[in-house]
Amino acid sequence: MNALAGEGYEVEFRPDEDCVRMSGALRLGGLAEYAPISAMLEEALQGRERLVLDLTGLEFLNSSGIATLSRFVISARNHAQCGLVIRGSNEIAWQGKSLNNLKRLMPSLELRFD
Amino acid sequence: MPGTDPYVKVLDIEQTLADLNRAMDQLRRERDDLEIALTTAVEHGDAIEAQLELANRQLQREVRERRAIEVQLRQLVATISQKSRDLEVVLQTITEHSDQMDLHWLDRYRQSEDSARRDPLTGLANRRMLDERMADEWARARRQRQWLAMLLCDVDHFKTYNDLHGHQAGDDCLKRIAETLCQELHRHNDLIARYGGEEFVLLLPDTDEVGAQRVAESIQRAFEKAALPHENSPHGRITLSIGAAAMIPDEDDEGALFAEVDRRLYLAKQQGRNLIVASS
Repeated sequence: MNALAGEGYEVEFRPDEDCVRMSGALRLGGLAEYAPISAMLEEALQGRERLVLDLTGLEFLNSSGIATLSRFVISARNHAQCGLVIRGSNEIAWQGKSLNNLKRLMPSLELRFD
Repeated sequence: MPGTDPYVKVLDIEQTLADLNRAMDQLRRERDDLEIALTTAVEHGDAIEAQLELANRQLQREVRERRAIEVQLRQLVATISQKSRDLEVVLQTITEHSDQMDLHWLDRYRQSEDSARRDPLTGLANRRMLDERMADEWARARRQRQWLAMLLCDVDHFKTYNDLHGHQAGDDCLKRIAETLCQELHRHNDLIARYGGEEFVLLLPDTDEVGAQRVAESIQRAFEKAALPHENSPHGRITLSIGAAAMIPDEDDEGALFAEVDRRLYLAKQQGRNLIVASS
């Protein structure tokens, strides 16, 4: 398992479960600070037929974070061989609208709300 | 011609031969000219044909190149269009996400602001909100030359209630006291605050001493009716001592009204509790 953690957040890549899990409050400063997370997401896409991005524990995500997620979804769309599933939570207000917007970038994206 | 001279005939034949030779030469020249013209025309046609063939090949090559470029341009346009659509969606996603986050923080801020001005046990205004409202209402009453009334209510023998039933029961009792007080205020601008442990303040804008006295009496009746049990009270129930006062402010210091209700509450306590002191 690969993991990145900082103040108030954690990002875990579990290759055996085809899953990347983000939790806590992600408010890194700018795309440069999100680069390690982007790299982890890109790594997770490689050679995989299916990837689950679990955001059910991600309570807060700043604008740079949603931009990073948007770029990742575009990248996943261009990796046509890998199906992407994003799990969100109805309890977290920002996820409803923002995750649905990500689906516009990748119509084949599967959204699941717990 | 009969009778013609034979020498003349010979001369005629020579003349004719000479004419024929000239004519022959003329014809040869013309034939040579025609051959040259024909050769020139044929060679010119070949050159034109070769040139047209070359031009045709160049044209076909240009058409192929232009078609290839057109395909590349279409692909480029498609790529740019896709990126443009992506950017629009990303921009909208980020914008709406930012709006959501703004609302999130605004909500947190409001909750924080509200909780900073609320008593967590009873949900009533706390001392901070009371002080802010008092400053506002005092200034407004002074500006508009209106009455401002205040009631300071203290729960009688509450220490013994806590000693007898414990602090958890004491907290529950304070909540019921707060609910009973709330039921006695009906105007939007009236404020009830928990002032201390078992002290409550009612701030009543545009209310004179008579009005303050009536509200205090209404509260006493409400507690008599509610009959919240208190075994260590002489009345067997929760009672309140109330100091009530009203002023038309004529100075900056709103502490004068606080001081007066505090003094009257002290008198109510001194005079036996479960009393209202609403005049000096």
